[in-house]
Amino acid sequence: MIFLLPHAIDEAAERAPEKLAMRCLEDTLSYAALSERSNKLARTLYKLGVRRSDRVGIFLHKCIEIPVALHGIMKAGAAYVPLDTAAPTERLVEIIRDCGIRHLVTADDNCAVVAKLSEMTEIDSVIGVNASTPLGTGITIIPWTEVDAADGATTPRIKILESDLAYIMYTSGSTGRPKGIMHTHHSSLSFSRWAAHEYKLQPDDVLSNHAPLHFDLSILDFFSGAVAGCSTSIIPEEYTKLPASYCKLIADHGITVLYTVPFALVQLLLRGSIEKHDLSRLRWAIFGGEPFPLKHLRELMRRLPHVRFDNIYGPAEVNGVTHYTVEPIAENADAIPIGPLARSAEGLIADEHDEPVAQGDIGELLVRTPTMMQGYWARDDLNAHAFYTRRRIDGVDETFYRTGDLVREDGRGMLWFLGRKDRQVKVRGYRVELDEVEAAMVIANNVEEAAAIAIPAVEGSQRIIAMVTLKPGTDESALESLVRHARATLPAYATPSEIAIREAFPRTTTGKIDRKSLRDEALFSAAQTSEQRGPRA
Amino acid sequence: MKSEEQIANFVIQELLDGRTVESDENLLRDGFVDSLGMIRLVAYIEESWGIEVPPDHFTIENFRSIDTITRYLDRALGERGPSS
Repeated sequence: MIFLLPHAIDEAAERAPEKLAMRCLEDTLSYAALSERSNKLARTLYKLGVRRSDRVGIFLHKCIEIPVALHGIMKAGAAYVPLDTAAPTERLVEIIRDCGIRHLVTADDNCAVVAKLSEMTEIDSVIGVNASTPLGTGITIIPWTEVDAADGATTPRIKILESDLAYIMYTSGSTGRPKGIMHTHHSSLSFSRWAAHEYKLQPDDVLSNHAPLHFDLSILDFFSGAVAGCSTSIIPEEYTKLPASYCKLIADHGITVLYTVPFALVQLLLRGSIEKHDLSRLRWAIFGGEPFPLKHLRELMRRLPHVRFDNIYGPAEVNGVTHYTVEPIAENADAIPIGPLARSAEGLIADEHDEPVAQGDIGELLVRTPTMMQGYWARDDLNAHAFYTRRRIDGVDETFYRTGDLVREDGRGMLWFLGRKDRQVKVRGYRVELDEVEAAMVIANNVEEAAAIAIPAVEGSQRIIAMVTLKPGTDESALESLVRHARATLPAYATPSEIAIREAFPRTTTGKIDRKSLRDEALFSAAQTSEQRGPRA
Repeated sequence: MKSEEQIANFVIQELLDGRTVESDENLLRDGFVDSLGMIRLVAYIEESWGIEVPPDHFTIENFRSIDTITRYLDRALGERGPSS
């Protein structure tokens, strides 16, 4: 019986040991090899002292060792914590300290950063690097060759329940402190099974992994594929930046199910040379993370008529809870629905008192679903607000997650996404809290006050603009140091594309910074710039 | 200014906020140039040298490092022939 995520690969290995499980360019792993290598990693971790419910970090660029790390850590009974290889070191340190990571799975190309991390945290063992790597005294180094030579190839006998933690994914917090979303084997497997069923995944399907590991889109890529026994192609970062190379890889690897953010699909459309590549095997293009600009979606559907397009909606806290297979989009349409709730999920569209709104009215979406997180790691303050519990029957509590998303139901069971209750925005699918950007700017030495806004970017998605006023006596050359400060403090996707120094901020009648008028100003000046430049061919 | 130097200047000043990079270093790896940065780089090359970079030339092989970009640009300018 499958009740833990790694069971999916172990069962596939029994059914079809030689079947290709994962590939990353030329590197491949059959299900048998993936199962065996992850068993050996689990045994190695156990020997190092990793125990049930411990947290083990994964700090890897896209490579074939990623699935080995995911399953090996979970087979040891621990939860994996993906660390963004593009994040500033300070942010990584904060996460490692927050959830008490002492073991790290990484690779030689990250050594310089790992050396810094090991100095600044309690990390005491590093797996996956060359034994001669200088990492400071007292740190145990285990290269992959040693992991793969570990005694015993079977799954270590460790008690693990489906309600145990499987992973913690860190995301933006509004105060600037990242928060860790905790998922169990049960919540993640519920979602993986749902997707495998919904998209009718078969062993001859080829999935891709485009999203980084710290982004929840990766859950479908790695685990739905395993549940269905199909292959997954891991796409290295550099392919995701050059659409023509990305498109060629989709064709060459025969990818049948693509799951990514709208931004990447828009890039494929505009710069992927779609017509020069054979994409005939592709049957699903699934997107999530943020709304798809309809002009581009319509065009992409016209260019790829044999592909079905599907939008999964759901914050990382609940994986996915609705999906919508896109119907032909009318010329005058300005939005598409996010679809009906999954059959296994229950929704409540509520007002600010948690009372259901009238049919057709706008409210916050609260959801109750087996795919829901356990909570935020060690954040009772956040957990107190994140959930809503009601008692319908004596002694039985029903717990809903508050999504913070405003929706409307149209009478046919379709939900429409209408925006956020708070100041969270999406940049290329990533969640960014504008409050976090402001908090990051204000801690710069010379900044008096800061405001962050988001405006639509030319090719879909949004871009962030930060505006600051300086402390008296600071000279205007501060801009350069502010740019450096932002890069060193915020993850790349949350870094403002523009920082502007202002004399003063416009104010509302209550004396607050008038962010709406700042945004209007920015929209106006963006429109003027694009007028001057004229349309690009 | 030689084209290599001009490309390096743009990458360092505009895309890497002054951080230095070797001419054979992989610009595409994490924490360096992101996808929007690559789009800006192409726009800059098109504008500065008056050429058009067709989408199917916008690949890893051509845009991995300052060296490969310079070689690509030299080829593209060579194909266009001497400017009048």
